[in-house]
Amino acid sequence: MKLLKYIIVFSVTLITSCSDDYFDVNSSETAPSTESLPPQYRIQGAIENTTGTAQYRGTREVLGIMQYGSQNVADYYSETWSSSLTTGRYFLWQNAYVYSLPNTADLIVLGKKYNAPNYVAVGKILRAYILGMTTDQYGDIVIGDTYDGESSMNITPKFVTQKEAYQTILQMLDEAIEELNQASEIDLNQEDGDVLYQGNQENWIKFANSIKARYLNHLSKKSSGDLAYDADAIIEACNNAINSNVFNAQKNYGGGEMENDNQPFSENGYGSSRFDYFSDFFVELLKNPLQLEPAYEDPRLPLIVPEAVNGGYHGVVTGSGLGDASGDDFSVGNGGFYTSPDSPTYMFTYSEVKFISAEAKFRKGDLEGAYVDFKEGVKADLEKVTVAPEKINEYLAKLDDEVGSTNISLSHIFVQKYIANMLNPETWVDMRRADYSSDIYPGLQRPENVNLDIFPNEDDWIQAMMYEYNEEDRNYENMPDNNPNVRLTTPLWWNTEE
Amino acid sequence: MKLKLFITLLILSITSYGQDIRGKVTDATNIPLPGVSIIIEGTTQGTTTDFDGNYSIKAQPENRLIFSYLGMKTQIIAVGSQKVINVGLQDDTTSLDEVVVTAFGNESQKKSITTAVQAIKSDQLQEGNQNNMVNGLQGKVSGVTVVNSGGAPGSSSVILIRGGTSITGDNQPLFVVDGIPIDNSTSSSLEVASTNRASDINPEDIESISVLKGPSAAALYGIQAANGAVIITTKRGKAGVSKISYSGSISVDQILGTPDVQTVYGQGKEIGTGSDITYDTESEFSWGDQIGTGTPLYDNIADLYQTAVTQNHNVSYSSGNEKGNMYFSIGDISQDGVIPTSSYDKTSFKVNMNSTFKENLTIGVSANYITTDVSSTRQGNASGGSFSSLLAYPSNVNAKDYLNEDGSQKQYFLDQQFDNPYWSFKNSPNTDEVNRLIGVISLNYRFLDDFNLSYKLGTDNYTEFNKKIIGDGSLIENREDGYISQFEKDHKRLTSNLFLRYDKQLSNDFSLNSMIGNSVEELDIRTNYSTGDGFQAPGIYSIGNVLVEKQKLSEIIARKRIVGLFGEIKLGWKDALFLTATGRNDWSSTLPENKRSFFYPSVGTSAVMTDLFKDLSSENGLNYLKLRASWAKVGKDAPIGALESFLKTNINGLASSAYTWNGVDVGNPDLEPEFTNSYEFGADMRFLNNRISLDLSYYYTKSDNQILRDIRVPPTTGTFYATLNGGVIENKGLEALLTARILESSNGFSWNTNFNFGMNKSKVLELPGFLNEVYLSDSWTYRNSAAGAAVLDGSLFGLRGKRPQLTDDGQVLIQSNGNYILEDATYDDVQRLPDWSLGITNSLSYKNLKLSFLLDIVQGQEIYNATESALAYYGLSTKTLDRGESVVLSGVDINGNTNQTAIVKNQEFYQNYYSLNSENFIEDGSFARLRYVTLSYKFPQPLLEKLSLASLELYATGRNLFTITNYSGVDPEINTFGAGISGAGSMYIDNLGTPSTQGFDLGLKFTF
Repeated sequence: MKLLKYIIVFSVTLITSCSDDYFDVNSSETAPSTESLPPQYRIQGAIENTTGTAQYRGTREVLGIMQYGSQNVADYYSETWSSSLTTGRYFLWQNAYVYSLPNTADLIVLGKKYNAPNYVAVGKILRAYILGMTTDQYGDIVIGDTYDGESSMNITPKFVTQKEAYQTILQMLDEAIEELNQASEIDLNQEDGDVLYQGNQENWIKFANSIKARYLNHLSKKSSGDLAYDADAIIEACNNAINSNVFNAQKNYGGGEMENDNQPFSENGYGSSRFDYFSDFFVELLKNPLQLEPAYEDPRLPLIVPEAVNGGYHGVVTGSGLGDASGDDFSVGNGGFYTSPDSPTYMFTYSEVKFISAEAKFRKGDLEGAYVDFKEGVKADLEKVTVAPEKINEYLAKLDDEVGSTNISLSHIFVQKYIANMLNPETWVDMRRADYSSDIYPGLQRPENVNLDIFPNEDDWIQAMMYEYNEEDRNYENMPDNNPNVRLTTPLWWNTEE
Repeated sequence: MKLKLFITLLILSITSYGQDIRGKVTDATNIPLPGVSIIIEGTTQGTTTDFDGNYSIKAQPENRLIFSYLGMKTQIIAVGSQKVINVGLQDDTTSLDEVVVTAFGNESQKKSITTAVQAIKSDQLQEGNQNNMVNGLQGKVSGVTVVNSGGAPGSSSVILIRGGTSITGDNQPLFVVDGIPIDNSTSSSLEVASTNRASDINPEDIESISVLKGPSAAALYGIQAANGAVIITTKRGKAGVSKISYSGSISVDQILGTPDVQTVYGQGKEIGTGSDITYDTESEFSWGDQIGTGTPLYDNIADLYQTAVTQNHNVSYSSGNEKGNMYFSIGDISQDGVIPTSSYDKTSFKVNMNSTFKENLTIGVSANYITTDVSSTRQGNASGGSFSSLLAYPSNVNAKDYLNEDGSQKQYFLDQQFDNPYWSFKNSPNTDEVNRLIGVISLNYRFLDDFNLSYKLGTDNYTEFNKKIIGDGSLIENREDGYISQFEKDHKRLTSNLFLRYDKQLSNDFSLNSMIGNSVEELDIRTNYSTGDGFQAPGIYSIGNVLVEKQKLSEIIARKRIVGLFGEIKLGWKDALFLTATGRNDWSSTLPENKRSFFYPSVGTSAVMTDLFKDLSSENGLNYLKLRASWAKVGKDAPIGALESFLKTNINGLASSAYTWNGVDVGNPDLEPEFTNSYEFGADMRFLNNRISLDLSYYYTKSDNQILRDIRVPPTTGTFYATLNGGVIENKGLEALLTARILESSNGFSWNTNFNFGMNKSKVLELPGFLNEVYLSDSWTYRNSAAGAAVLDGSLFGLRGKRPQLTDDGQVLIQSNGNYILEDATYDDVQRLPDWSLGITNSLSYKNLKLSFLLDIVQGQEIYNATESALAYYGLSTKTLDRGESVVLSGVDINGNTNQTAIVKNQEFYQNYYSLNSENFIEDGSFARLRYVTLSYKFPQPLLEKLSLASLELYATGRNLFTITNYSGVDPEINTFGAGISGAGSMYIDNLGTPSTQGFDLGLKFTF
């Protein structure tokens, strides 16, 4: 029996004494984990997935709704608000929640762990940006119950209302601005990861204020309540926001061999086939953006829109497809200022700040101030698109002549913002705030072949996106009504008068 | 000790009276039997035979000698005046003292076993001549489901014992060879048919297989025991017998068939709708105009397959004496596939040596070295798949005309973006090479009479080189310059088992068998993956021939350590009532430190009622009745690396090149071990002088708090896949094994039959959160119309797929265009595993002639026929002959009014609605199949002596001779994706695989 005792003792000793080392083989030797990498190695991924995955997808799914682009086939789902768009397949949703937000959550956790509040702040700014984009397409969203880098995975996340989402977004931005003023132990650009601002925290503060201005400005239909439209708060945020094209929040692309080094909507990019042609609406708008008689062509037209093979600038009517026409008669999507391999993806530009400020001043009744900001916004965009200086001067003079503080209207502001925010999903917010009005957007019409099962009347326009089918399948109890007849046609909270 | 010595002296003194009797005991084939017990009836006096089968005993003429040996029929012989008594013992297939191998190679008397264990001997296993040993179990063990994956050489087979217990993990049992667990994984089965690694074992080397059904039987094995265990004992030499054996066969196989295709409409696609349809012939579809009379027609699919020849040769040598024994074998199989260029070659060497040092120490060494080479062609959804490419050849196009004059691949229409299969055979090879060594060293030390200490150290190491090529000159988009995808896997598994047994007859009535053991298992798997896009020099298919920027490399190292401590106590009373208890504690590296250790017990009892109550039995009625019951709990650890979330770069073409969260490799630091609870009842009965025996089992298992790896969760969780504990699975089932010696006449005619019956239902009782299904995209069928899924309140082996959207009151919703809307949904009433199966083996012999056959009846499983869906998509299905007809689909519009809008059954309908609507392709897959018939002839003794042979046998086998089924596809026994899909698996999903084969074997066996 001694031997028996020996075996037991031996085994127990084996298990207890060397357990830590002996069993410590479960971790990967070949890949880092969420916990093993300090924040300076995570910031680049957090930024680039915000633009590359979330914003790309947020744009792609509404490209036809915003009528920037048209596909060669008729009745393309996103242009006519039909098929896949009514069944909730693959939208911004999963790109935001799975590809983008978790990196920002990790940044916040790691920033705290490494005494680097600047990383916490960047995490929050990017988070606010993504959540904002998401709620503006869906309404109610998940915020607190999604992955936060610390809690256990919640597979039944609860939704919050859009109003709560806005409150959280604004609060996160305020916290971030505060945290960027604190001392940090690690520079944002220590590992060359701050591809937005190369470690300049002042610029991050400007970016945070810009987002704040954008979200306060979305409240234009709210005249009461704790989130009532506050023009002065918007103007103040704009005054602390991005104040030069130099500080534009933009993700640059090198146009190199790797697919992800290419602007997604360029010919080598991941989404090259999602932007077949420019839309008829966009091209025609640029041919006479100020609605003058005779038409006064925008100098940005030839820079943004490639010439058709058979000459001239022609867009495809959204929803119609090419039909029997030849593609050579139309301006292809790839290859212009926004759609070349090295074209940046713009998150926020100086011109948008100015247009927000102009709108706030206009709504306040300060037409003088509104026009000044409007003109500065146009100038900033013309410079961004690299219009020749003499043409810029000519254009600005034309604005003085034809618009000025006496004639300025919301339509002027919205049209110029529409042109300047090319490929930014923010445009869809503006279009809905403007009720898709052709008074605001001259020449805007419902797409051809529009889905009459859900949008039977002439003035029925798409108001929101379907939640993804996989959210519906797996979290139906927490999710708001996802019936396409309701989801697609019901205005979001900020688009209702209050 | 003193007592023992006294008894021995007593026996010696008693036996010293009387006369000396000598003799030799042999088996039916004249091989001497060592260790046969010889007892004088009515006394305790006795002896045993030595290594040459010789014995001597002192006995009186009026005595009767009882010769008994485990597994043989006991003989009683009156001494009379005989001085020499030679005895030939006969095999006893229904012996009550049958020995079965249970956990850790322990040999137990069958009557003492409290759980369900079924043994298969080598000749039973080899009947039907299956190269994959897993297939050799098909239909021969009740409660075991084996589904092979098609007719490609070396293709894998899934084995499930009593359904499944895991939603996302592997549901296949543990494989143990000579006490050491071996790997039975299947890799990369999505693009090509791959091999399940247990098929590396040469069936000729197997002496016997014990199938431990369910958690109770396998509880001591711990992890993975929830799925049962397949315990393989390999051949070893016998003392006093030296023999050289040869067995070999030559086989021819051909496919069971190909689907019917329509030959009315030719190449083309429809342009426009309604009445003004025109056809564009620049297309891979068969949606064109009618084929003109006189136009040559080609049966492209059927023409692809060839008759395949397989050669199988095995030579073994075995020998032994009282000091030890050895067995050595070489096996070689070379199989050509029914698809040109596909093949399977396996060579195995096996050595098994055991030696006794002094009296009580035995040392054993065994080594099995195997090389397996497979060449395969792509199948299923893989781009370049032979079957899917052939679908693109309409009946008026000749697929064999594929080369231009300059030797490049011919495009038969503009913009062809797939490869001709014949071109692929030559230019796009897929190979898999495995070199494997399974080695075991064992020591066994007996001491102090009742103690036995044994130690086993085993390794299962292999390297696998897998290469898949698309040759340069391919027409596949972005593959014009070729593509290489390869991996090298280095698999190392080390197992150390130490046991101490203590077996003691405590008193006249009580016996004790006990065991305590320790096991350590280390698993290290390193895999290097590389892909390369575009070859620089044509025809050199090496990763080095790809531009550095176009290479992608990755390395994965997976490691695991498990330490187990376990024990077993078995108490017997009067050799008729048994009580067994086991317990095991495991420490696993895959669980968090504070949850690493977990314990699980089992208890069981068995009672031989006919021994306890002698009145129960009568010679011509019930001879034997044993009742048994057991309860067990078994634990399971987590998959490797499931506690952390790992980061990746370049997760897609949009994402960052820096490290990011990828939503896939997402772990959970709070995992707990999962447990399966089970109970079972059984009864073993023998009737009519043991001519009929019936074993019954009823079982129930419940697996809860499952470790769910990579389950799909709502995106708002923050990941595509999550790892967590949750979900409950229940299995209920009934097994029956009926064995009957129907005829046993003295004129040499005998007829034995076995019925193996099993029914099982695997049900998903709970899933975490609001999930109503868990599915693995690995089993997505052609164009994603369906996939295998575990469905809440439905089957663990269920289905999900695209189905027409319904209104709230359950009617099909029809859009204004007259068509339904397809959405992904689950089926709560589809189950892809049989309700029940019955394997009937028969063996009829007359003198030296023997006829055996297996009839397999498999009922109630539903097949998803994605092959038909693909045929419909291409316009080749005969169902599409009604093209152009109008139909009003039944359903209601959005306002609830009955649909009145007619649609035309055109290409648009067939491609975007009909072929994607999974409801169209679910079929009853029940079948009855004559799996094999073997006729064998053993040459008679006189002839053998002339030839100096110990035995000579010739046999002929026909496999899959007929199948009765209503299934419309080629073969109802189908699993295109193979055994590599875990969880709900892909059993009975028919998705453009290589059709199964039927064949004929001629075999020869002889022994010197």
